[in-house]
Amino acid sequence: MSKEITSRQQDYAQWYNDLVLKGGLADYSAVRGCMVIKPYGFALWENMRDALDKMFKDTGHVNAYFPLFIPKSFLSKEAAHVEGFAKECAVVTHYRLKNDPDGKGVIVDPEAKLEEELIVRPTSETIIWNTYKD
Amino acid sequence: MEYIQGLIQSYRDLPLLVNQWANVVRWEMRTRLFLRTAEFLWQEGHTAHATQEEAEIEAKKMLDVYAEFVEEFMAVPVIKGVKSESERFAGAVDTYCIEALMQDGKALQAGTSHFLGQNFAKAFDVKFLTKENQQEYVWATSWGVSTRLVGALVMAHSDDEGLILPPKIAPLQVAIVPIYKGEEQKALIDAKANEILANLKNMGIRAKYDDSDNNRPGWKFAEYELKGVPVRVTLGARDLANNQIEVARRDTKTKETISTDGISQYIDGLLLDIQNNMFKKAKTYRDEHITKANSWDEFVQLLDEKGGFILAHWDGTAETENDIKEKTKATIRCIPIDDMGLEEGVCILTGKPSKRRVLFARAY
Repeated sequence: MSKEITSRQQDYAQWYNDLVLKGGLADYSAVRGCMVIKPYGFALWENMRDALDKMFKDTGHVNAYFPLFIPKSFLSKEAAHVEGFAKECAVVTHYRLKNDPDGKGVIVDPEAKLEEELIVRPTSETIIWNTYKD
Repeated sequence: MEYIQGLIQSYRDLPLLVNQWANVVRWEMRTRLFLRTAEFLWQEGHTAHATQEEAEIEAKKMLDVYAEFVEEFMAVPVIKGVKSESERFAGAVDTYCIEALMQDGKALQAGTSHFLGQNFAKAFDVKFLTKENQQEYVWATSWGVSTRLVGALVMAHSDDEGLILPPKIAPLQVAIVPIYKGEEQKALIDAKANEILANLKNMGIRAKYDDSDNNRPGWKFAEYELKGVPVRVTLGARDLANNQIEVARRDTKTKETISTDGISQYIDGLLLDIQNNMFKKAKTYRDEHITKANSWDEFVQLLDEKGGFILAHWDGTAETENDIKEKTKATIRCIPIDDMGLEEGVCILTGKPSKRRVLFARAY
């Protein structure tokens, strides 16, 4: 049976990976560092999320949603904050692709460069505080 | 919605208590499933308050909510504390955290809650009009937990046979498996199983009758064990004739033969018992792995041979904290909020005076 789990004694890190993969919680993806949360793992997360969400609401909190993208200039408004996150930010620089003139797939359209780059949120303090202001 | 845009104007608009469920991206170089991924799911609370005191209370209150959730639902005991300056969230005045212990003796930060002071209000110029008609910067908190908690859950409870999920959050709480020969036996078992299934579902229990015929019962047993389903019920023809049923629990791997009368109530109680037992087991392990170290040698020896949390004196400086980390890979997990380690002594590395012990561990 291919479902055998490496023992904790033998290799703790592999034991953990075996549990996650063979237990049906998640899998690796085509994007390095990003995972697919499988239905069983997501059902588990949903139960955790729902319990927490109820606790937040019971303590007077409400849910809202803010943008995925944060203008680069926002991040640098709080000095310690930008220093903490600068090294791990994904940055959006362009908004369009075009056919490769060589006929090999697509390339980033150099004419579609954003005036101000956008950061994929590492956390949302800056975009939220900017919203709270005006 | 008036609640959001331009919402903070006067004291009447405060406190503002907002949470967001979202994905975030942190470009990590070394990633691990659930524990550290470049993209992850989380919630982030962002609150605004009229006074410092109120914001500090909020930050601590949300830490309590996290601790309650992780202990009650995930059955993982945690220690509440405050981070040292170097482990603080970028932009926070104080970072509170809950720390859990995994079965390999390494610690895992399960959630954080930050008192942000007026740092973000000043950076983004967010003021409000006080009752006294003064313009003042608001006070803030933020707090979050993520899918990392799933990794913590897996590492805190599972064994070599697979996952062990706490009943309160297990996607499937009870799996019913039939053992039969021929259609005649199956029909009898089906009738009983479906009756039990309906009763369990009526009680709000997440249950499934697995009568799929593409796998043998032994395969199904192994599969539910691997998936950490808290309770497995086996229905066989002979047991049924005796009005009996076999109930197996995943946490202790024990089996019992139970009368089918009142089986739903029995299972309901059993789920609660499993939840409590899992917490107790994890807490016993955790408590056995909080050790005091009174010298450098003792500290290093404990880290290498026993692991777990180590309560030791520290002189309070970032340099010493960093030196200890460089030498041993152990970090200050937190300065406990309660009186754990509250006694004076001298720093294990520098010998300088220390007001209290802090909690060290190697961590995920």
